[in-house]
Amino acid sequence: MTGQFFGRRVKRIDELAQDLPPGRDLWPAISAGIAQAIEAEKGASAPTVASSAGRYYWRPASALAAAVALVAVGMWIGRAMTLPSGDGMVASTPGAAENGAALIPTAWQRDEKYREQRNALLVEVQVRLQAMPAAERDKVGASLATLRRSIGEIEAALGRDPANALLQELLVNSCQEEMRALTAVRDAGSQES
Amino acid sequence: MRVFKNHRHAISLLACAVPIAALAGGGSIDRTVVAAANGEVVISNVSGTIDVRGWDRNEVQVIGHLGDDVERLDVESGGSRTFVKVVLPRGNSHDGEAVIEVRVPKASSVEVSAVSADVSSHGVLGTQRLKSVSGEITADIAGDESEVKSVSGDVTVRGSGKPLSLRMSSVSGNLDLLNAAGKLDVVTVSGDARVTMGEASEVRGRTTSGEFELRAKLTPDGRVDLEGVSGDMTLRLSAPGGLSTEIESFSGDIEGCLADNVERVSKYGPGVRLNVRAAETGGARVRAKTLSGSIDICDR
Amino acid sequence: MTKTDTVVGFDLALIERARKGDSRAFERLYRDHVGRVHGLCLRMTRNPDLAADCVQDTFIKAWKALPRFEARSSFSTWLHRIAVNTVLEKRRGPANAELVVEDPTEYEEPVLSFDTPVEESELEAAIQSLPRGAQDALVLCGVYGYEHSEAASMLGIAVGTCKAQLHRARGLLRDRLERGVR
Repeated sequence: MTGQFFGRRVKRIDELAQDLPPGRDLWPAISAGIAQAIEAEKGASAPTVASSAGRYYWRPASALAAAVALVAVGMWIGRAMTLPSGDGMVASTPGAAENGAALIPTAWQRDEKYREQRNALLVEVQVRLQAMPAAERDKVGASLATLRRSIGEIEAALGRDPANALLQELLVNSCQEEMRALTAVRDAGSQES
Repeated sequence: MRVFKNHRHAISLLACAVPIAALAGGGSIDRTVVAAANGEVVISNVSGTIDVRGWDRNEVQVIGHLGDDVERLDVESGGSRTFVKVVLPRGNSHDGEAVIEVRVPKASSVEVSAVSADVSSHGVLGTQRLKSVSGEITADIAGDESEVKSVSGDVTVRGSGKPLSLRMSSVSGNLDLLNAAGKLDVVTVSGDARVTMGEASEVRGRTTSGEFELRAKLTPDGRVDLEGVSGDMTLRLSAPGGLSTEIESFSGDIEGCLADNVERVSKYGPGVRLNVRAAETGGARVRAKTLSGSIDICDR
Repeated sequence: MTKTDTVVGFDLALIERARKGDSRAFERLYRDHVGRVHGLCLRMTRNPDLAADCVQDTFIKAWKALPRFEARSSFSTWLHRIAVNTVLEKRRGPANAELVVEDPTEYEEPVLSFDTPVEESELEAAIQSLPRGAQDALVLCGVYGYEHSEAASMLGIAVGTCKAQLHRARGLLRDRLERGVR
């Protein structure tokens, strides 16, 4: 813990810093915990996003529907965005496999709710991308593929250095960013109705 | 006479049934409704352009042109809210362009939703929430708690120079911000982000592969928290009260005028970090972390 | 010596929105207050990973309890109450034995100060080396400025015990700083 402090001298104990931010952003985990709590309390019915006031609300996991069929049709995002295999591991990207690094499934990546949420989002994003004009579809698809490749690079690096706190933080935040980006693409379709 | 009466009757019937909506699409439009001085204006358009202008009247005026494939333009005002919506025929969610300019009371808060329409906004002082999927967004932002989002369109925002809280996000579009101050949250995946701020109290930035450039004068207790994967970061931060850094990259380089203090994280493995404590008590803090992107930081 | 924070209008507005399910508003509350909550958790747990867990649990509990927040205390103090409770729940082993207090007024003491400035890291290490009960009282009263009554309430101990623990903490701290023990 003493690594937090850098040699300032104080004369009173109440001069010690009260504000000590954590070493990583804890909001993603807190947000996920709250979403779980909402789901536990309210079940499947959920407040929806984007009221006319433009507020953001927690969205519980959607049911997985026809995922396999749609995934089989075409992968605009590329083969990198595959669904998790049955052993609960998040599917690797080609980069990670080529490096021969073992995947490090973090506790929350094994989490059923996270995988269900991601699978459901992937299905909806596939539909949305197919409806986009070609140029836009290519641009957005390339961004999502970049994100997935980056996650693969971090996973590969973690395979070689599992205790690296920086890599762990980058992995968690990048996966959260992926969910944000997928949600943004999915929700883009709702503006047309 | 009877025909004239019927004609007038038909028009009055039509007027009652659709009291303030424009008639079918195709052609010029000019609609004005009374609006609250500091109410909310909600605008949506799929394709074309949306130009929002703040003015001194307590009215919302919509002028422009509707394409032939547009079904209609709805303009509806009730309470403190005004809705402006370009409606396309069912089953046709892409074609149908509308080029509209919406003049709003300048103290209004404004919400704009567009798909491929370009969005611009000037002279609005209230909170703004501007969203476009692939259209470009160009806006002057003066209202607190504003938000500008796109999926693939580029975003250019100019602040008022006064402190406020602003959030900008995109997936693949570029984000440019000038003349801002206060609190900023900027997120992109592969687009580049270029930010110039005056008095910055809190900056949070996330990028995956896009480049991130930040020039800011930090308040005495200002906080910068940036995270990227492969995108490079360029930080030019001035902090009158001193600047502490907590910078780390797994495989990228740390460069710049503070680079003399860079040290390896481990004797045997990759990773470099730059942890510097300001000479004075407290001071501003910057945290920046990347996987492979380089970080170029200078405090002047 | 009470530091009573005023519930600023900004916090209240965010709390109102968060109560209605606005995640952005609650995220703002998190970002505004996480430093103080984490500082308290870190000092009480002495373990960064455990402190992070406590912070996460604190904010999740706070979200659940938002409907019951009545602004009798500041939002920051309310969060600290939840944080202290969370830390105490996670501690294993028996609760700290109550000190026998014969005369609580004996322990009315000013803020702990040093004739010669002390290195921040050295002081933090010395605080970390204190027995739990003494450390808890010192962190809440000495670092975060809570009155004995408030700190005692947070810790679930008698006011007299809190004062005695604080007195004990001061003495131990002085000894350790003089001897340079970590």
